[in-house]
Amino acid sequence: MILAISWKNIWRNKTRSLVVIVAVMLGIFGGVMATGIMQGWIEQRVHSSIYAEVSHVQIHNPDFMYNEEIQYTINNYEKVTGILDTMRSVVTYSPRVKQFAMAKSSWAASGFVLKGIDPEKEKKVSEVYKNLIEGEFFEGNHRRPSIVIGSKAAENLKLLNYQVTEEKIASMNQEEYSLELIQKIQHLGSKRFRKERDFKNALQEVLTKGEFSEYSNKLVKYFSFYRTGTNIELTIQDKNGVITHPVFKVRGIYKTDNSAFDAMNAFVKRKQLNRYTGLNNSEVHEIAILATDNETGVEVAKRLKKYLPEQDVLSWRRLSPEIAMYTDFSYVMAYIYVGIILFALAFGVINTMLMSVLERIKELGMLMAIGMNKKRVFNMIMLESIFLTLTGAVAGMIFSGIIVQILSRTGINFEMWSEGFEALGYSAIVYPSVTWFNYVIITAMVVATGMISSIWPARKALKLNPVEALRTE
Amino acid sequence: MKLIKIARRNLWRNKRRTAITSASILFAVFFALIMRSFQLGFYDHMIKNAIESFSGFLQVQHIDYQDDPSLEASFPVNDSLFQLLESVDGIKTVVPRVESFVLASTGNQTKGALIIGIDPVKETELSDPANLIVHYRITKDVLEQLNNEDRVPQSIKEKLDLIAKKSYTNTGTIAMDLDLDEKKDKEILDVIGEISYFPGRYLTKDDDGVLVSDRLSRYLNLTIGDTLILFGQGYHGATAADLYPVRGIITIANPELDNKLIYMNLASAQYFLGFENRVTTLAINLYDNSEKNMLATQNKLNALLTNKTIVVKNWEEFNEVLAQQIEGDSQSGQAFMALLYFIIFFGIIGTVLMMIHERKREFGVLVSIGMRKTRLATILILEMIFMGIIGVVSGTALSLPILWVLHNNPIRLTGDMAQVMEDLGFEAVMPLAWIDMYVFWQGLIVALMVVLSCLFPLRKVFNMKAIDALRA
Repeated sequence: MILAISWKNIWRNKTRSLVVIVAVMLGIFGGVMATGIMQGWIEQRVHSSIYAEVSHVQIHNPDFMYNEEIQYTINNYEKVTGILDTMRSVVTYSPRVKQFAMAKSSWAASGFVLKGIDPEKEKKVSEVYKNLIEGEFFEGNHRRPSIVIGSKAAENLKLLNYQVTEEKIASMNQEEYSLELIQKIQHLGSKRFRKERDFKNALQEVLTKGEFSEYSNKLVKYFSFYRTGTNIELTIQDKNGVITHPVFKVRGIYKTDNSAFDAMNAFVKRKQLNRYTGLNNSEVHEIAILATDNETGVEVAKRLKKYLPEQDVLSWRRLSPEIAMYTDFSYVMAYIYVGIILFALAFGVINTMLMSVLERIKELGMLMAIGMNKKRVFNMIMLESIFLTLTGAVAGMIFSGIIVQILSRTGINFEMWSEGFEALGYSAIVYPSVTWFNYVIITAMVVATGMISSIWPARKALKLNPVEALRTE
Repeated sequence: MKLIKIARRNLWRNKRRTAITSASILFAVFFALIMRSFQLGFYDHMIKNAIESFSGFLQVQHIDYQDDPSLEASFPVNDSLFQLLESVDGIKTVVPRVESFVLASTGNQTKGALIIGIDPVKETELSDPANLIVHYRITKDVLEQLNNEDRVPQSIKEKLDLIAKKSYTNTGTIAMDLDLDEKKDKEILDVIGEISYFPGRYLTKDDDGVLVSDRLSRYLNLTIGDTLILFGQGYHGATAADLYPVRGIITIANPELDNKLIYMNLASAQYFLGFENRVTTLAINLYDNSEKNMLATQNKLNALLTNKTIVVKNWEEFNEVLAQQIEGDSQSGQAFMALLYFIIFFGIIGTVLMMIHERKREFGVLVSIGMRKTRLATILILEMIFMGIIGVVSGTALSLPILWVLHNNPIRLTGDMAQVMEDLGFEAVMPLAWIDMYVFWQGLIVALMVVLSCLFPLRKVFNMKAIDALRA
């Protein structure tokens, strides 16, 4: 009964109610989008950080963590793998040799950490091989050993080149670039540019000023390519402190969301690296372990620590406190945003409800006079307020739900800040993600807002004296 | 004048409505100001950390240096170039630097390192490495000694883990980490300082030694007086190798730099690299750090430079990553604020609508006794503007004390949050920006919103028929 009356009351003054409903709708829409973007971002960050960088658990020799010195390999490697092979919730693991190296191409020098891996095992633990943008991940047999480096390291070594090739000209989108522009670019022939600035200068010569400022950045990106198949000379230290200079061939280039990782990590086969480090097959610096899921990973680390007290066993929460913090706080932050939005909305709701009560003094007096008790009057007003907010909120949630669904497939592109984001490890393309649980919490917050903002107007109504109220005009 | 008076009285006639509308504006202004000043304060903090006290706001570089920071992309300097640069108004300091990657070794440990050749006297005006010299180091031995020391109370011994393995430039930071009061617990701090004392000094004018960053020194197991071997490639590919005594250890917030930085005298670096009078950059700081002044000075300097192979770049150009991070964060913050203002905007429209609905009869009377509708509309707009002013002024007034307190006593982060900040290379504090143009902009936006929100409802007044209104 009361439900129906309250619902009808809202629609007595359509304009007024619609203003509040639209405001709530927009507020919730914005809140859900902000939540979705933030959560999507953090989920992507956590995923790429665990599945490309730190894994769920890592085991080291405790002394290795301090300085990463080559002689501190894991003691009793066979015992450790024996435990890992039988332990429950451990999905797979990958042993690694880690060694800092200076790298020199024919054009530039840079430094990074070499990870000596067993490719088949590594592929199960880390998704780096899925992020290859050029070349291959240790396939086939080659006389010269292979190295897979990150895109940022490739840039540092000047392996990012620019060339106007026939194929690329042929596949240029005619809608985006005019035929005239394409012809002009063709003049650059197939000359190879090693520096972005040189390529830009060449573009500047063939293009008009307007074309240059509009297209130069796009063209630079379009005609860039990573050179694989070049040799780079590494400088590494072996077990005895002797420096060697092995030569590796770049056969693959990967790119994750984290440009700092891409700059600092290169992969080689463990067996091949050991030829220069002098380590044997059971001497490794790091074992990266993947558990069934993130939370189990923490628990696996605890159990392992019991079996292996002499080793340094760290879960992803300890290896990357930043990621652990983000997973813990992302939900809280999202609800703080929604909370602030609802707080702002509450002013509008209070205002509207107060108006609607004051407008109906006579009517309320009448209802009370014919025997409607105060509790019911209070409930009626509170329900009106809840309906008002909830209608807008549901509309906002449906609307934003659809948009989030679409964007979670297409992604939102923040390309203009990609360098800044990727330096912090965040992808420039975000796939928003909202869970059912988010909607439940938001709905609860909306209902609470409706209830709280109805208190003042409802009290006003309760204080009415039916006899006096009936007399008002 | 009369209209203003009427408008004011109207507002007072319905105090509750005035209060609610003003309160919603107050909330928006208050919240937007606090949030924005947190953001702006944080950006200032980042810029101070990374730009003002390290790279400088402007840098003179060879035109190729940004794309290819090698020794070949360098340029010769002489006194006349310095004089030319320093003669420009608003330039605080011009600091020469030579930067290059080399291998640093102690014999059995080798690591890639970044050497920066500096003028020890001039550099104090920019990055001031003298302030970064480690004077206290909490090693394993020091911890043991402290644990056996009777003068240190048990309650503090339990907290010693917090400072284990850390290095400090002064006892004040030790006090902060241990949650002690610098004055009250002076005696205990003196004991800790005495036990953990670590010698080391800044470079003198013609010093032939080096300063090594903390983490690098631990990796190489170096201490004061030890000899460091540096080898690498000098200018034009010549081989460079030499020995250097360690004069001091410096601690740098940014872990990436702390892992590889070595400071040495400019002359030593030039000799080491076969560089004669060349430098890789001249870092410039300004008296006025505003964007406008920076760009103006940059243009002025670029026009002055006769040598066309060198160019002046601003920090947004040579540190694009930081500029983009700030830009991205700033935009997201502004988007959220826009959303908030949008909601408040709807709230105001609601109020105006209600006000007109409620006072239909009153308006009807006024119009039928001869008041022009334009005057009526003016009164309504004035009322809205008054409410806007009340909201903006009180919102600003309410936020000022908070801004003032947090600007002067920045929030110091602890725990994981602090760790994350420090890992990114920033001191773990959250200072607020003090009053600036942004306060004015917030006010302006709200005022504009108020006027806009009147437009639609006012049409109702103009379309009103006096007779119908009287009957309402």
